[in-house]
Amino acid sequence: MAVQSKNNAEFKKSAWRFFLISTGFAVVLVGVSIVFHSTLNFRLGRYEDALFLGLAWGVFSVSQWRLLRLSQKTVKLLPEDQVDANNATLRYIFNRISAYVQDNLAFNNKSNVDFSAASDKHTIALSKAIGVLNTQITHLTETLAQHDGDIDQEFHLFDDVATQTAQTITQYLTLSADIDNALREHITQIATSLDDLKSKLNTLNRKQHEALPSVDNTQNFREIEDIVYLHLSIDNAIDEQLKVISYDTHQSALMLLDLMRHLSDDAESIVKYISNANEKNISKMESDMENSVKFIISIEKFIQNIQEIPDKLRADIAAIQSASGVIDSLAHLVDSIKEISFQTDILAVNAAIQAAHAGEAGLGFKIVADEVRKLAVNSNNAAEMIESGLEKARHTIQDGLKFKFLDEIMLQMNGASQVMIYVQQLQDSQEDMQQYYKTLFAVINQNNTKLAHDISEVLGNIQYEDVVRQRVERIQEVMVMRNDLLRQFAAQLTSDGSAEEIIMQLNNTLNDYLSRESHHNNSLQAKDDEDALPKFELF
Amino acid sequence: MAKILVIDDEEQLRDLIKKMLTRDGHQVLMAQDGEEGVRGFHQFNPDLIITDIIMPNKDGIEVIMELLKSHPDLPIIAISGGRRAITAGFNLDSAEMLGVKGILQKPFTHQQLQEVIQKALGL
Repeated sequence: MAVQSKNNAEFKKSAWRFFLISTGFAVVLVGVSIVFHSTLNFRLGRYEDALFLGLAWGVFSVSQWRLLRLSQKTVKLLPEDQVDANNATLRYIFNRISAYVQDNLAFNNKSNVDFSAASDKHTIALSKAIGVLNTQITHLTETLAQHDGDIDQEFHLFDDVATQTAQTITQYLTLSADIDNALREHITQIATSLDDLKSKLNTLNRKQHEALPSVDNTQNFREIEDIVYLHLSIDNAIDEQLKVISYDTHQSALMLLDLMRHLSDDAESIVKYISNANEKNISKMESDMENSVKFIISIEKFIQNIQEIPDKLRADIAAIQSASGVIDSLAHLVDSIKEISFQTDILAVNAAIQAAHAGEAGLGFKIVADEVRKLAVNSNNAAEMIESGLEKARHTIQDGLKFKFLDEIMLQMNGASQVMIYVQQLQDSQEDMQQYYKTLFAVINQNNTKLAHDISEVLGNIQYEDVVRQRVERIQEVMVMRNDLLRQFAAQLTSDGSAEEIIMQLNNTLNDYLSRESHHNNSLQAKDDEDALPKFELF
Repeated sequence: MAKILVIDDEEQLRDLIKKMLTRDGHQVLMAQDGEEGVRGFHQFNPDLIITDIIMPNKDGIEVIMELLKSHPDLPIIAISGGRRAITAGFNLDSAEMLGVKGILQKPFTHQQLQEVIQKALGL
């Protein structure tokens, strides 16, 4: 008993030192950071962020407390001959817990920044999932520290839950039709899976009291140690990838939603614009066109009038000219009449002289000569009357012709000014139409370019989903290989054979996986990784 | 107070806007068509542009597209209407689609101009 007490006391002392060195630095650093950020957030009125940081601190503190209790409890329960072996196991447990606490804390901090922009529900669900994960890890490490119960079964349970989580992610990806809803469902499923895991581990814990430890072979135990270490390393690597996938999927979904909203807004505004342009402006344009057509018809009529006018004018002028010709010829006739009348008068005078010479015999002849003379005078009078009448007619025609020309000119002037108005209106509406179509095409073209850009962004984002699918496939692949190796190992436990080959293969599987992932490192959070807290090993 | 470039082919309206803006204490530059307007922008680097849509040489739509392509945040106010009122609404809708900060249908009051300028400058 004295030896055991000494060993226990030494172990306890070293465990304390170990605990203080390993986590003291993190507690101080993270504590100061959290207090600072909480205060800052509280002062900025970001109470939810402050509360979230408080929660993160709580989770971290609980983990540390459980760790402390675990170290005391483990020492008390262990039989003396297994102290060395369990010291090694405890190192794994410390490492595991510290790494998880570290990762979870880093993830919490990251979540606080990245998800606060999303929705409170997402943040609360994630916080819950992380809390559950911490509890599960503590249970797992307690179980392993006591190394009782069916470890193989526990691995299977752990694998089942991990596979279930991977399936949930795959399911989510295929259900990307309603991305936001699927994302919420996905997070809830992760939380449920972790709850399920927790309850399974609790059940397992209770059963362990009924089945006591059976490990008493040091060689066998060291092999188990190696297997556990490799198993946890693979698990860790998968966890890392699942976190990246969860983060990327969330970010990708948010980006896609944002892009789709943007695309929908752009498309809606262009459709509204085109429909407005059609309804308001096309009808305006149509009435404008109608007016233009009316103008054109008016112009046609007028042009026809213009074509008719010269013919009419020509006919009128010809008629007037012929009337003038008739008048002139009539005037010549009047002159002839006047000449005849003059000659007749002379003839009558001569006849009267001859009649006077003839005396009584020429008396009858004198009467005829007088009558001829009267006729000549009357003829002259008639000719003069005709002449003055003709003169009046000529004046009348010429005056009439003058007025008629003036009227035509006036008509022509009115028509010309009207044509000018019509042509101006036609030109305006033609310019309006040209401008309308030019503007319409310019705006639609510009918006089409914008829409094409939006669509290519969406397509680029959808292609990113394929990257996530490939990551999940790689996880599934490595899990299948690991499970096969663990089954082989479980089968070998009953025989005396060495597990060296299996350990080597497990190691290769881990290295292959890590190497393949490092070649595909194109996560959305790649930039954030530079700011993440540095990881430290406790060995 | 801001440096404002006014682009309009109607001299009377240009002068009227200048009077309104000068009274409000702005520094005003004027251009009589789109080409002159774009040159004026590169030469004087104004804080705000007020442009008509239907203009000779280079219309307001072309001016808006050209300037917003190289200066996406440049505040531009589009004005349209007057004699060619038939497509004024459509022209202003188009300018809005291209991303101008304000629109104004002619004829407008001094107060309407002040309001749209304040909005465009984010005051």
